[in-house]
Amino acid sequence: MTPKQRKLAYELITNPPPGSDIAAAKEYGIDLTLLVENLDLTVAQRLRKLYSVATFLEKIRQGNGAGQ
Amino acid sequence: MIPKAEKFLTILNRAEVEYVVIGGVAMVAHGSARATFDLGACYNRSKQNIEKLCRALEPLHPRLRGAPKNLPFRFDAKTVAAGLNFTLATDLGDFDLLGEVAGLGFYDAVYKSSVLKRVEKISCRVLSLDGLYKAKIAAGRDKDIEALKEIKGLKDLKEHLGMNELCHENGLLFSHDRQVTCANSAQKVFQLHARICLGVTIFHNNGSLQRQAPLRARGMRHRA
Repeated sequence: MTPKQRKLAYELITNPPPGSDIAAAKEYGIDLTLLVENLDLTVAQRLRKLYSVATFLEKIRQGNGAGQ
Repeated sequence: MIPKAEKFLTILNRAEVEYVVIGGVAMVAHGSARATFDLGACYNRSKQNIEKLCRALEPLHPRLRGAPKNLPFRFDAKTVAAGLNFTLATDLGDFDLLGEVAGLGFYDAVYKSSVLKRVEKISCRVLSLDGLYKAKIAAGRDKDIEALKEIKGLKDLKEHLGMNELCHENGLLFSHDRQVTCANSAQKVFQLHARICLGVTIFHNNGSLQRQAPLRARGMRHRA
């Protein structure tokens, strides 16, 4: 993402065009800042981030299981 | 447990397996912020591809996820040919193998709805946002309502930012998000490619080329 695109992205998620799908997603409660953050990453970086998050969640899940 | 996608995809690519990444990992590849715990792929059910797939996965000891340990299961070409969709656990993590994707159909239809993504040193086909939307609608699960909102929001955001994907393959240029086939001859593809590089895009969807304004931050809008 170029600096210009990043600036536009933050403008769009702060004040989405009325009636747009961005506005609908924001209204529904989708965290658009996370989407912009991900768009700033390469596909490989997005997948590594997913792996890291999923591994962490899995550890918590296993920890909860052990605690019960 | 989610497999390391790059490692898994490298194994499939090395074996020249024909597949399209689908589901949560495909969403993440497009920029979604959702977490998922398995890698999903739709595979070509040709005999040759099934054999390649089985050979590629054999070292990972694929087994049926959630099935009793004493349930006899052998992951081989015969089993895959006799079945369709498999939820597998492997040594690298969970892997959903689908012969058919609800809302889209079999591999050929899924392939047409896919885009080529570069994951560092490897390339793989990933279901497009439009394809994911159709699949989620067809699945009709309550948990997908949020995903539908996210897909539409993400798509709109990418369009506004001019991040639509064009895929150049087999002498054809596709805009998968728009489901438009852009050219049908090498010459037209060359013209199209040149014009895109020069900041002008042309969509060709009915035998004629259409000129559009130079690419701007607003994105590449298709004029019907």
